[in-house]
Amino acid sequence: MTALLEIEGLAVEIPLATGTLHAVRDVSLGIERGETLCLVGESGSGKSLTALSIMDLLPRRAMRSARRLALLGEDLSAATERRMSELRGNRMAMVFQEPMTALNPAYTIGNQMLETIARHRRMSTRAARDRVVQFLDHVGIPAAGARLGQYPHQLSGGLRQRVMIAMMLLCEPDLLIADEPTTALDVTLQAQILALLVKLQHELGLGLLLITHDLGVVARVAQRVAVMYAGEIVETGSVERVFASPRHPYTRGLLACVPVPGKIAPGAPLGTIPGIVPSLIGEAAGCAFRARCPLAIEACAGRHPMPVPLGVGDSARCLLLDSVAA
Amino acid sequence: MNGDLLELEDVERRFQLGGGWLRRRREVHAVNGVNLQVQRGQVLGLVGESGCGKTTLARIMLGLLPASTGVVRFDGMPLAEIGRRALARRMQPIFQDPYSSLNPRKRIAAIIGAPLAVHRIDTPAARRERVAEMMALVGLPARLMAAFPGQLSGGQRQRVAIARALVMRPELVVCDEPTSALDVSVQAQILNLLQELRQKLGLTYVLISHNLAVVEHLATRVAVMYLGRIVEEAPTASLFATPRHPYTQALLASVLTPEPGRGLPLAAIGGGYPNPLDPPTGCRFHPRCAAALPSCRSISPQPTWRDGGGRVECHLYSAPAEAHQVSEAVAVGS
Repeated sequence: MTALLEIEGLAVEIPLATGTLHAVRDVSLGIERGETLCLVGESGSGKSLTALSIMDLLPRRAMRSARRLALLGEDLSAATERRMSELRGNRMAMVFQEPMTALNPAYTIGNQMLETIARHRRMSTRAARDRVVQFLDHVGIPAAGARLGQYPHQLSGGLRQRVMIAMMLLCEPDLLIADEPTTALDVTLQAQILALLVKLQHELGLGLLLITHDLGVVARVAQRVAVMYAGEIVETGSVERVFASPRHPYTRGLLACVPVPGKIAPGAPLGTIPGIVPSLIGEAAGCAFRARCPLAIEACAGRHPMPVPLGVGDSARCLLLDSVAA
Repeated sequence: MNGDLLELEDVERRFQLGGGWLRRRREVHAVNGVNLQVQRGQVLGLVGESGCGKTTLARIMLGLLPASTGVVRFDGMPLAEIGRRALARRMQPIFQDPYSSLNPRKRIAAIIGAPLAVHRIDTPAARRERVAEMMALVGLPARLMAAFPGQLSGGQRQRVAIARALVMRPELVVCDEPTSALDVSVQAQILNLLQELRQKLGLTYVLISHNLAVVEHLATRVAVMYLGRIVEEAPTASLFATPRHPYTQALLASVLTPEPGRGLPLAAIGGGYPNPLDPPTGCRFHPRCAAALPSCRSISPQPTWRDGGGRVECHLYSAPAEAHQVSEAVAVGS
C-alpha cells in the first residue's frame, strides 16, 4: 500500500535583500492513514512553512524544492496549479489557528460550506445542504440547521473552530493538516476540540499532521513526533520514546523547560536553553544548535549532522550519536 | 491587621454597553463581589477562562480602573487615598505582550528609566546608574542600553518590561500573562527570573495566567475566577491536590501535561461559557456543572471554608447550618 504522505528532502528558501533565508532545510517525513504526526518546535522553526509547502500555499516569493513530495503516490511537486486546487479541500485539507481570519466574514456559514462541496462534488443543492447539516452535527454543533444562516462573527471561538473542522472534512480528505488548531482557545475548549479531532480521525481513517508548540498537546494526541529546530527536523520518533528518552540535546532542553507537576518542585528553577535561534540567512555550516548546546564538541562546527537512525522510524541529527564521527 | 499587602473587599465593576438612540443600555458585571487578600511575600495566582474578568480585576488592583463599589486597600490604605503617583512607586504591572508594551521609538535605557524620570527621582547620571544596575539584575547585557525594542528578541523585551516595572523598587508586581506570548524555552527563562527576583527583592506578585502549569509552579495561593466571582481560593498545593469546586475540577482536568499515554481528558466541560450580559441565575456555573443540584438554579452559593485551607463557593460544600458560612470580614490568609 502506498504511504499517504511522503516527504523527502523538502527545502523552502526565501530570497531576501540580505541573502537567502533557508526557512526549511532537508525535511523528510511520512504519514500513514489513521496516524497522527505532531510537528513541534518554537516560533520560526519552519513548522508552518513545512505545512504550507505540502498544500502549495507558500508565500509567492518562497521557493520550494524536494526530492520527493507525494500524496497517495502522486507527485505533488510536478502537479499543475489546476491539479493542486482539485486536491486542496478534497484529498487534503488544512485547519488554521485563528478561525475568525480563515472564515470569510461576509458570507454565512452555510454559503461557505456549500461552496466547498460545489467546488469538488456534483451534488444537488438539497443533498449538499443535508451533507453540511450532517457534518455540523457530527462535530457537535447544536441546532446545526439553524447555524447555516449565521455569519462567523455570530459564533463563539469554539464553534468557529468546529465549523472549520466540519468544512475541512466535507469532502472526506485523506490528509488533514491542523496548524495550531487550539492555540487561540481556552484550556477547557482545547481538550474538547482535540478530542473531536482524534475521534473524527479514527472514524474517517485520516492521516493527521498536527502542528503545535505545546508539548502537552503532542504527548496526549500524537503517535509520532518530529521536533523542528532552525528549519530542520532534529529528532523524530514515537511519542513514548521521545518523551521518555530524548536523544537530541535540543529535545532534552525543550522537555526540561516545561513545569511538570510531580517532576519538578514548585518554585524550583526550570531547565533553560541559553542563547537564541541562529539566523537562517545565508549558507550554514555545522550543527545549527551548537551555539546553545551544552554538549557541543569541536566537530559540531565543521560537520553538518545527518539523521542518525535510532531504531524503526526513529532518528536524531546529532554528531554525538553518530558512532562513525565520535 | 495582618500581613495583607493588598486587600479587596466586595469589589464590583460594571460596564455600560451600547445605549444608543432608541437602544436599551445594557450592563455587564465584569467583576461581581470579589474578596481577596494578598499577603506580603506571597504569589497569588489568578486563573479562569477568557472573559471571566481576570484582566479587569488586575486593572482595579493597579488603580487604573476604579471599582464601581467596594474597596481596594494597599498596605491598609484605600487606593483612592494613596493617589496615583504614590501608588505607582509601590505597585507596578508587567503585561503579556512585550511587543506592544514597549515604545518602539525609545531606546532601552530610556524605557527602563522612564518611571524614574516621570517621578523625578535622582539626577540623570544617578538614573543611568540605576538603569544599568536593573539591566544587570534582569540579565540584559549593558550593550543593549542604546538599542531599540525592535532589535531585541521576545525574551529580551520581556526582560526590559520587567526591569521597567522593578526600577521603582515596588513592593507588589501585577503580572498579567507574563509568558503567554513567549516560546517554551524563553518562558522558562522568564519564570526563573521572576522567581529569582522575588527572593532577592522580597517582592509580592499577583500572577494572572491561563496556563495552570505555570501557576502551579510559581504561585503560593490560587484564586479561581468564573464570571466575575472567585469561586475557589486556596493554598496552591491543596487546590491542585484536592480541587473542591466542580469548575476548578473541570479546569484542572483539561490541563494537558506532557505525559504520553494518558490520552485526552474525557470529562471536559468544553464550550458553553455563558454570555456575561445574561448570566445564569443562582450559581453561575450550574448550566455547565455535572454535579448541579436543583437549588443551584435559584440560590447563589455563599463562600464556605474548605478542607486544606481557603474557601469555596458551591452548594455541595455549604452545610445547611449558618455557622459554616464565612462572613465577608474574615480574612482568607492563613
